[in-house]
Amino acid sequence: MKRRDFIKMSAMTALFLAVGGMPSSAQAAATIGSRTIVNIMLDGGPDFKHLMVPPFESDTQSYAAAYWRARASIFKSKAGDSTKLRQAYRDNYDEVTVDGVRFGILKSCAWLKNEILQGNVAIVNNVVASTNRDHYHSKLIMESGSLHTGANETDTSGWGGRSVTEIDANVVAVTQGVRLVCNGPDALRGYDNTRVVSNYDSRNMGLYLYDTQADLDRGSRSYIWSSQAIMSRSLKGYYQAKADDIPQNSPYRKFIDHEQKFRRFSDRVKPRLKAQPIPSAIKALYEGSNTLESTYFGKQIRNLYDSFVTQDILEMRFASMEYTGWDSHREQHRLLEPKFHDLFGTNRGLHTLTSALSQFNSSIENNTVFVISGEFGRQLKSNGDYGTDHGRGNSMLVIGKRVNGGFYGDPFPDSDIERLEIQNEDIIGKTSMFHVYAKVLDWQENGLGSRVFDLSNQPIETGVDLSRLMQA
Amino acid sequence: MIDFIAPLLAAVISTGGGSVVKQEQQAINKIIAYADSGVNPKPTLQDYLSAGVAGVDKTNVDAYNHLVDSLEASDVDSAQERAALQTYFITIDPIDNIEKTEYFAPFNIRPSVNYGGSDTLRFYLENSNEALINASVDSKGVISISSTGNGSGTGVSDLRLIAFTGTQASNQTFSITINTTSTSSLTFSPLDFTVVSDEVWDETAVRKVLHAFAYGGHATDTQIRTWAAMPPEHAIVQILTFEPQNELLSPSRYYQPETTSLERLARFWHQAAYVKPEHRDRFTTTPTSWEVPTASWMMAVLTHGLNPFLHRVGLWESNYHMAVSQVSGVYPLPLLSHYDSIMTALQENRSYEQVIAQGAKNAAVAYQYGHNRNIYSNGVFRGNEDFAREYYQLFFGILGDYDHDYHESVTIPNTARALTDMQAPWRPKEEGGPVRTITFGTQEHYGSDLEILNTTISGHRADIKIDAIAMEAVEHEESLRNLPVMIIRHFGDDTPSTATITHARNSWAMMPVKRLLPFLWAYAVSTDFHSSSRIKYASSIQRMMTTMNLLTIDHEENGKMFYYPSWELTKEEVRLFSPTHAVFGHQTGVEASDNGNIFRVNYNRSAKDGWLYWNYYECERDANGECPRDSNGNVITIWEKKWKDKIPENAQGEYIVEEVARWLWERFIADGGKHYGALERAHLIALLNGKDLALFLDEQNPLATYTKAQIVNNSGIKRLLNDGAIAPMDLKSRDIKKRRQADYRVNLAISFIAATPYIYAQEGR
Repeated sequence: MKRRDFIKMSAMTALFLAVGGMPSSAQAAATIGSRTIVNIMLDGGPDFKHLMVPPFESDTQSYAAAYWRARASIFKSKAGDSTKLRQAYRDNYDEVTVDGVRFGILKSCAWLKNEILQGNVAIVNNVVASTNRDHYHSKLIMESGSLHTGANETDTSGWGGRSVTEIDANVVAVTQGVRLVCNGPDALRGYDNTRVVSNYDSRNMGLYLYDTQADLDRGSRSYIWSSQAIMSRSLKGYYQAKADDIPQNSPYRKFIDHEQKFRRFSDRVKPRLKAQPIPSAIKALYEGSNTLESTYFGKQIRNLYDSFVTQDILEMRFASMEYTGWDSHREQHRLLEPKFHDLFGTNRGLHTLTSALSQFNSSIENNTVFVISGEFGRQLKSNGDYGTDHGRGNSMLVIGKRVNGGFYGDPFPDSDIERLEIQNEDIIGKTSMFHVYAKVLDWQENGLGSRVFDLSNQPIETGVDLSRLMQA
Repeated sequence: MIDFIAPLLAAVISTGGGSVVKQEQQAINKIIAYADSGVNPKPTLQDYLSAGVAGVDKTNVDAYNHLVDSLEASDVDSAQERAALQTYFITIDPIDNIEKTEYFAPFNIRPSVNYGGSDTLRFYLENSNEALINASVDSKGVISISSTGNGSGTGVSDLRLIAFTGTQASNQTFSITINTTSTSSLTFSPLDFTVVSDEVWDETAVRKVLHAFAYGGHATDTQIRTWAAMPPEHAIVQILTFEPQNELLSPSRYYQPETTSLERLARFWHQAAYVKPEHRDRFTTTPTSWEVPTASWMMAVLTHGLNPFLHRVGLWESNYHMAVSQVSGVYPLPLLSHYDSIMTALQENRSYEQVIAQGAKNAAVAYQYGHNRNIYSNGVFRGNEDFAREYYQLFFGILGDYDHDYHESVTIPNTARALTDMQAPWRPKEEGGPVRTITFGTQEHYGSDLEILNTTISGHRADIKIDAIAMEAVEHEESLRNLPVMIIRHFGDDTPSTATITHARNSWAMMPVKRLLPFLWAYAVSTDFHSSSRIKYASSIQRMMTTMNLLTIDHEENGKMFYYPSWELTKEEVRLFSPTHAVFGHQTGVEASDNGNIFRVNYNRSAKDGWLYWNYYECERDANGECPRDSNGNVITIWEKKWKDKIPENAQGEYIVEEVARWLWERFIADGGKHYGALERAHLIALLNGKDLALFLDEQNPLATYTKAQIVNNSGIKRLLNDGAIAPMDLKSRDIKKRRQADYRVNLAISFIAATPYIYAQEGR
């Protein structure tokens, strides 16, 4: 437990006691269209340097030329084969200019390109969170928002969980599991999940309860012999009584909390969702004609859509998503680009989601920010297996109508030209990711970022002004 | 004196970009020279490895030198003679108590060696008890110990030199065979843990061990009481074994193959008459039988007559520690080979670094990470660094904290080069599918020395280098710090205390030969494991497999595979051999506990989808899906679950509700009644009387709920519950209806227990 979390927890404990853990709906912690952060974790170390590249140049001294030489193997080309490399660029990338910087973006990511051109995408370069190249530890650091998080320190709070605790709202995890970023603070146990709503199977949320009253109303005696009737009444009654029996600091308390959350939400969520069918375009992402390579991500899109539809009920101000498989040691061109396409292609994941949400309620689009990042970047030079090995620094994306788009940090620094030739060199991290997260939180509530992160001694690239990252 | 300079010079060859001394010949010459004279430089471990001398490791290199020094140069100047060196070094099973001596008669030595009566045969015994060996051998009248020593000069404290001289007629040759070492030879040591007192070591403590390490096991109540009455250090070596079968942990009078191999077990079950025909195809072992690893593993855990602990460890190794994933394209047969080879290494009592090295040399791992394409050719390395990093991080717990820059710039790139020419070509299924084992080549291997972990790693093939790295890595400061903690976190403690971590680290460090089994023994009976502050949340796999194991009553039930939990786990988004975090391992208990969705699924499994629990018979259904009935209207069954076979009668030969409730709670929760409170008692009494609590207390008010205070304080409620508590259960009634009703009520009670908060975690005390 960090001292900072402990101090915060002291204040929060009083609040928990006052409101019984979760924020009550009467407090209206979130309404549909409340400012909301959607954190999308790209597990494995996404190579944003593959998503956005310098245009191929024949000037051998340029960054672009060095880049294409260094990464020639990804496109099954020799470093000196400028014809093939130029063709690889033309075949795979569309060229755009933003903030006076010319660059190529994967053709398969047309939605993202459009959003960039509309000024809705902040491309923050040379960011870093982790101190090492280890997936697991790097994720712990990144999601906890603390460089002090140890290699096996999973029992700690995450920056998303801390933020909703501060603003008295909830995190909704639309993933299969609950990521560490969702964890709220707890002085004794290290973290607390009271404010996390697990909503992976959004259309089946809830605990089964046999309708005994219906039997009584129609004079049926099924409620007496039905196994389902007996068991569901038994468990409901047991958990209801048990809630007063298990202390807050018990290791078993979290199961009481799960039960209470489902009881509390499901009765209101179900009728709302029943009246709001899953948009066909979203359904097609995981079981239809437009299936994503990751149907798992498609299901998360559905879950997130449903979570926004019920945002006021779930009191959601932070959502957690994930897309796995970015560890592109091999066959990067073939294996990585479909994932980018899933995320950023026209009529693919995020495009479909944002379109559907706009149709549902236009205020959501204006008040939602997507933060997309991974635990580290890749090495500058490709390896001998048509991929890239682990690095440290990377880029990240912040997407939304309230974002001041453009580049933050030099995407193609001349200082890297020589380093591009050297195996094992990586992007030098100049700006802490925590600064970026904090600015997004500040947009959500003034001053929230510095309450969630300890930003002292966190670096920021010279010349980068993150204060303009978000509109008021 | 052998001239070893000439061949040394002749061995200078050109490799890659420059000339290097051929390591192998150099090493051979060094060994020959040392045999010639002990004043010459001692061969190092690397020398033996480079020279292709099998069986040498860090623990016995001094002993090898001792032996070589006692030989002549002419005894080691051929490859055949050097290969025979290991026959001198035969580890025999140590004897830890007098009762075991019978297992060593006749004295078995393998490989067979011819031994002349006038000769002296030297070999080393590990952790041996000389006196008992003496007695044992003498009793057979074959050989006698002419002298014993403590391995003077070996420098290895746990090795003992025993010299035998034959008593047979001079020059008579006879064969002696020593068993290859097995885990049955191991003896218990508390290491740096403290063994719990006999007072703490009670039936509940035994059950906690069974739940944590063996998915509850299949031991009888009588056996559990027996273990509880034994000193913990004696009991634990019976409970946790690496043998294919453990008749105390999992008794059965039916035949099961005596193998740790999932593949062999699958082949057996594919044809086993007792397995329902519709399930046998799950055990087909073709290159694309994607279900077979899961089916075989689950059956191995659930089947009475095998060893659920062994396969609990197998899951750790294959799904957490050295994980590979079917989702990543690792095909079933290489995956089975990965599992089976690790199990074999464990069963053969190999050191843990050898077990890990075995995992690293498996084709499944190469497919997972792609280093089967790593080559070194024309002075250029082509490949990736994926496994070069994870071999340290995941297999040994070395993250590079010792020196990140060095780790990143030296150890990892060089390890990638060490992992070259590991030939595991992918083949289509028509050609047998991807190969199961790697062919280690030399042509495209980086044959020179490599600096790794601040030491020099030699070897002319990747497998040699992998072995050598393992020996360094397991003793690396970071591995010593992290690996034992990784193990106890997985098996027993989500948040080990500082003291527990210290005990684990010290225990691991103090084992000169690190082995998993004695480490787990010591931890399982330690005050740390049985501490009230210990908490271990159950992963979905742990919870489901334990519950299903304890639900299973008999052999026939196994074969029907009612409790094939794969489908149930899928509902919780868990798929065996496709770890949630890929190579970083499967879902942890903490993750499961934090996941409301998993709670929802498990809750609804009991409340709505409880067939798994509620089912208590099988019949031969007609075309309409109906069971045939007898003249009294009772279903004619072909199998019935009869809880009377498991639940003990009381002294009066009766089954009483309160007693059954307590027994069920202890069987499935194993907390000594710590959480069997008024609420749990009330609900279980009601269910064992065939109703939920509301109906039981007031049939006119089925929607009522009752607080703990009402249950404890309301005299009317107390009276009803007490009456219900002493009600007899008809578990052995001759009236079929009554008996089935009683069995069904037990299942309802289990269904309830399986949804309480206490099913999700285990406390140490």
